[in-house]
Amino acid sequence: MTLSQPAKASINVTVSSIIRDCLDTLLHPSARRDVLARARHRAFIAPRLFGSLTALAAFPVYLALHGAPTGLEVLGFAWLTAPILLSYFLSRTGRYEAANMLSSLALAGLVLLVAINTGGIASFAAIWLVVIPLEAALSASRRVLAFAAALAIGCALLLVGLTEFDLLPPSQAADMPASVLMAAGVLTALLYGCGLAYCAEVLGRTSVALLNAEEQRYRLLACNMSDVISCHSRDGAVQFISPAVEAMLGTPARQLLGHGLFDRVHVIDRPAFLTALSDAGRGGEARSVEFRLRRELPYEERLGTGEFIWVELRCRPMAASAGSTADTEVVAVMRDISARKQQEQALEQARAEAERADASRSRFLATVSHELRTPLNAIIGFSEMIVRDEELLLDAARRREYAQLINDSGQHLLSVVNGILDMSKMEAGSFEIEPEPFAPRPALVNCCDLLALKAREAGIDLVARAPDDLPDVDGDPRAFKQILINLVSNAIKFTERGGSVTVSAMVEGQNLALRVTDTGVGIAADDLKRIGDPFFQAGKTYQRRHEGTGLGLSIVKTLVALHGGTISLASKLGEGTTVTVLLPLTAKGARSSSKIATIVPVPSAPAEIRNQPFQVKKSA
Amino acid sequence: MAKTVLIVEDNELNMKLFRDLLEAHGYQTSGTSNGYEALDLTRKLRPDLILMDIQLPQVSGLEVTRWIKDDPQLRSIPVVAVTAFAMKGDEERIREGGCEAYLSKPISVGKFIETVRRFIG
Repeated sequence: MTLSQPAKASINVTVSSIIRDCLDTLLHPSARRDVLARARHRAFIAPRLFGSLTALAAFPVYLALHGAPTGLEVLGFAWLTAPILLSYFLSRTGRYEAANMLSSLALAGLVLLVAINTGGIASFAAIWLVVIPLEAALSASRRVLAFAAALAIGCALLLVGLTEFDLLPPSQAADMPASVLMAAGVLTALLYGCGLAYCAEVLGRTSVALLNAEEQRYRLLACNMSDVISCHSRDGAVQFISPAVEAMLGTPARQLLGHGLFDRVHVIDRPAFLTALSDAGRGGEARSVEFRLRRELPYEERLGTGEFIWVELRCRPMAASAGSTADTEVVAVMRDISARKQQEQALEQARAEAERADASRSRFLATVSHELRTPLNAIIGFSEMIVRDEELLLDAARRREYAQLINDSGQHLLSVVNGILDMSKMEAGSFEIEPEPFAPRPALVNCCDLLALKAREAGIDLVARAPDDLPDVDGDPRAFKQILINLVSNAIKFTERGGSVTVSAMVEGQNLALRVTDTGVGIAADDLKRIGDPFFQAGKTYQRRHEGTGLGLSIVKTLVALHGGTISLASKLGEGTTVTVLLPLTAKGARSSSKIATIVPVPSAPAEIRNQPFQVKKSA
Repeated sequence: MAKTVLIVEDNELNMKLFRDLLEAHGYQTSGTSNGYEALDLTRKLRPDLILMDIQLPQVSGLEVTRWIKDDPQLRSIPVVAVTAFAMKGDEERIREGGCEAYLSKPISVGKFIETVRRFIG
């Protein structure tokens, strides 16, 4: 590989490339940067140098064949060196137009000189006047061309005038037949014309190649850039939009022309979109606007994520010289910022979540403080009264009564503290269950016995239903009882006097289904989502009508998760609540409390208990 | 004639504590655990002082206080908040709600009696 490359390069070195390299060293620095200018300068210098040198080389031959030249012939040959000087002028100054004009002048001067001395307009040299504007045409400058054309016409008119009014000097070309001279004049002019035509062709090809390369470059940009470039009129109508938009929106660019793009802007964002474009068109400043755009998705993808993407549009007024149509006023760059928006949303969500956690912690502290202070008030108050028994005239019976009240409050305080401890153990993930097979029916009956007194005091019917043949469950019996006690005492707490609480157990598939249904206050749909958060009790803070730490359901949630079960709630405000716990009959799944079951809210009226089971206990 | 104190408190033990304390100091007491009933009782009994728990069933003590303060005939009755809400900001919020004084639970018997005396002698 390394050897073949220099070999290939040497083959590519041709005579023309050597000449081109030599020529390039003659170019003025200003022409070296631009490919087209370089080609023009080259096309100016090359034929002139070549022509002049050829003419100078021919001079000795002419002398040899023709003998001593006349003064006019010497002048003519000397004039032929003018293009060398012109090439030098261009090479040093880089003034292309000036060089072209001087070249036209030099050629016109030479033609005039020769023609005047060889018969005026009828001279063999007069045909060369045609070459002057042709040569100027290569310069691609209208000024040069106009100058050369005027010059050529002026010279022709001058020759005609001189011929017509017999002001010509005697012709010096008498020694050769006029036809030979004319043939020489036409042939040389033709040859020079062919050379010009070749140069014109080369220049034309160069500029087409340049245009192609340019277009390739823009196409590359337009097709591979994910940003979309568009031109708008001030009312937002799209005049042009780059093909990159197809990848962004799944819509061919032509469908977005006119108001096609606007129709895809989210209705809410349309005013902002239009305002930005019209401001940019009028205010002369760059504007930026973020909005949603509808994206065409293939049918099978349409059901998935949202159809709108977020884009950012930066627009600024179109520069006057940018070749815009009269109608176009704003040029815009559009970029897909969905990913950034998603990130922002995620961040916002995380922040809201953190705030929620923070609020939840504050509420937790406020609630714990409240729940501890309430029994402490009785304990401290009554004990202080006992201390002041003489001042307050307390007899022994009264003191004993107060001591009992202090004890009751202490017990209540203990249960609150235990609940908090259980909860924090569960939150820390260090609470473990010990699964063993046990009979759920006696456990259920036992729990209802424990709570019967409470239900009777509250004037509530407590009904338990469980079939005799309920199979053993592989689980932690303590946890099972805790679940039941928490759910049933919750139900009692939130049910008005005269209502009822029904507890049922039955087998459903591979699970034991526990249902606790009450006819209580129910839970509002909003609160249903937060039920089971530690210390959360539905309703307003200062308006809590029910005692308790708000830990009961939270503990149940954790215990159910430890058994690999699920918990769901169905409730309607004012009509009642049904909590359904499904516990797997055989132990499986999580043993550590790091996994916490989610409560599935089912916001509807409690379902009727379907099968007719056995009434175990009733207390009223 | 003995001054009357209306106690609004939903915890039975605390209700008993306040009643016994006030009666031992020669006041007449009347009590309820319900905010709506508290307003009715205030209208009927025209107590000299109201001890108001804040967390109540159905309607909060702050709400009840506002009703009393909005009623031109009841406005002059001093309301003392006695509450287990003792976190930062709670006292300000409760005083802004119209309560003349604020006692946090657990109470000190001495301060409790002193506060009651400050209002009704």
